[in-house]
Amino acid sequence: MKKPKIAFILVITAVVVSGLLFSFYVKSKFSSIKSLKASIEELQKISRVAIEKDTGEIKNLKELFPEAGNVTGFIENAYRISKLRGIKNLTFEQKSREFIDLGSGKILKAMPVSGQKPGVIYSYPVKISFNSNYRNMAEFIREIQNQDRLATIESLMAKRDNEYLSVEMVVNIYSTEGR
Amino acid sequence: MNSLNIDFRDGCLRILVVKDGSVRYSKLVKDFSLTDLKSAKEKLASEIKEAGGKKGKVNIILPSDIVNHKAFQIPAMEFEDAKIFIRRELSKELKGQKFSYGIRRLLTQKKAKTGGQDILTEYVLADDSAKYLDLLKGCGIRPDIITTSLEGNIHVFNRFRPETDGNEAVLDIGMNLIEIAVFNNGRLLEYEKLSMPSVHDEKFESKEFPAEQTDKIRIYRIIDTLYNFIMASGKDSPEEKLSLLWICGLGSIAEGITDSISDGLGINCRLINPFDTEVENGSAFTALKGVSAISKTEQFINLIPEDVLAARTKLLRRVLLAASLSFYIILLTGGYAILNRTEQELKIVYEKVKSDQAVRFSKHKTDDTYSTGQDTFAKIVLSNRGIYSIFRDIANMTPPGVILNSIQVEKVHDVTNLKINATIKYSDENFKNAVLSKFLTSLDRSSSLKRTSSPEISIIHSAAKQKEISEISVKATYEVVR
Repeated sequence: MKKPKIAFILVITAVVVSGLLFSFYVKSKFSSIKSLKASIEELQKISRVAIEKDTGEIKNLKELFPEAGNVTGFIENAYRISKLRGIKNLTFEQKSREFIDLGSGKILKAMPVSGQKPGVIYSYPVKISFNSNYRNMAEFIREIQNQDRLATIESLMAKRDNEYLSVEMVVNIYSTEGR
Repeated sequence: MNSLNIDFRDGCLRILVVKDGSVRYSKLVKDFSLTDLKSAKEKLASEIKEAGGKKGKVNIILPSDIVNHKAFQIPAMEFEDAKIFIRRELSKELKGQKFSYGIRRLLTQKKAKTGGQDILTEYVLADDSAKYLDLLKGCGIRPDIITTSLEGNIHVFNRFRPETDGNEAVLDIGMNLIEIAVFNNGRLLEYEKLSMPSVHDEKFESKEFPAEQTDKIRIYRIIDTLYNFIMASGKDSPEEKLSLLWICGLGSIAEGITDSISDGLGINCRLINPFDTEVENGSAFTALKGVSAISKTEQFINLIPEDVLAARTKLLRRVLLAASLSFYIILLTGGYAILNRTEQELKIVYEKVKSDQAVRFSKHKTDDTYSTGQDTFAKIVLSNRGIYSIFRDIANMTPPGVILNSIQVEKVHDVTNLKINATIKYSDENFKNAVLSKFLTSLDRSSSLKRTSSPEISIIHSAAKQKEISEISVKATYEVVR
């Protein structure tokens, strides 16, 4: 009569103890799972934000600094604008391209010799000479600078020449690939 | 719910199979006795097999000759206390023999008034019931309920006749016994077992008579037995007079018995048919039908020996404990496995997301020109100055009298410089000073320009120029700031 009672008490004790241990185990696992889930969500959120940010910024950059050089396209566009603005004696002179180091931002005259893909962007200086009045010159420059593609005016010299201004300027356009 | 119901009374075997309250099978097997245990077992097994085997619960009615009954008059007390009291009394009477028993109250108004109670006890000796338990065990059957015909008859009668017209009696007529149960509006008032001499036991004529004559003799004996009981118990008195007799049992299937009893005793007599559908010799299965309807939640007399019940309970407890422990262990193991697996999977996902992100960032750093050179791109964009606004400001700020000779824009180390070369022709010194001052002040006030050095002002000497008109040259240098 006594033996089954002891066995029963032992079983109940084992059940209670194992239940308690298991509840601790469950609690620790739940907290671990919860923190893992939170970490994953955080990482995914960071990735998502970074992707969104990158996508927006890179889209803008791609417009300002296209992959292809396409200097001809720029000249054609400038020529079209000059016609609209009454620019006279327009000439273009394409100078040799330069390289801008992506890391330092320095202008290099020659492509760096490296086994890896070079970390440079390409700069194409274009000398533009023309005659026009003051207003048309200003409008012409405005429209050239208002294009999607970035055109930086490196130098400009406007001189009075009889009734017109004689203008010479160097405009830089950029690309990320050397083609 | 299915049930297999077996009645061992009257040297017969009555088998009734009920499914959801409807009779599926009924059979009356005559000449069944335990004299030859082996053949009895074979016969029972074959009959059970024919009935469709054991499906659902099994209910048994023990033979009337091994079930004893005794009425006790005891003081009013709780039912459970009364049961203990009766057990003690029976133990004394049976002198240590093992027995199983059950009690029920006889609801007599007389006793209720005096503060006592009549208790009807039915009991069976363990040795007697063991024979039937062994027999059933041999056929692979473990009964759920072992009870008496009275239990079944009470169930049937109270169900179809809950309200009686005064006192009504149920007569379960067997081969050698008549069980009389008297009811009044659902209450059991009295129960008696009346012995009746068997027709075949008599020495005289019976064997020579044809079957019809034997039936008639049996009916006369029944009437005679009942008459003697009524007269002896005072049932002919106005208070205890029986208004209606209901007959059932094996003896009730004799033709013309109800009319004979009615005529013989002067009390209306009817045959009990407990079935909704046509069942052959239906009244003989009355008690069995009642037993089949017993639910375990109801109070009823179960004559399964206590040690058998205890063994079952013990087994059930052990099975339950084992099942609970198994379930508990499965729960623990399953929980452990699921949680571990979930954690491992999440760790894998976490590592994957982390490595994907690292790969993506390193790819950005190494492969993607736009991502790598963002600082340089920004520097180029920020160093670009909108020249149009400068020209607009110069046009607006240059007062009349100032002639712009040249405008030079030059970018040196990301700084855009503006050089203006202008001349002012004048004849009046004040005019010159005013124009010069206005010109330089306007340029200085421009938010786009920041003067980097003092303007160079020089007088231009020319031989050809008119004496009245002088000319000065103004050179100014600015940094384009916006």
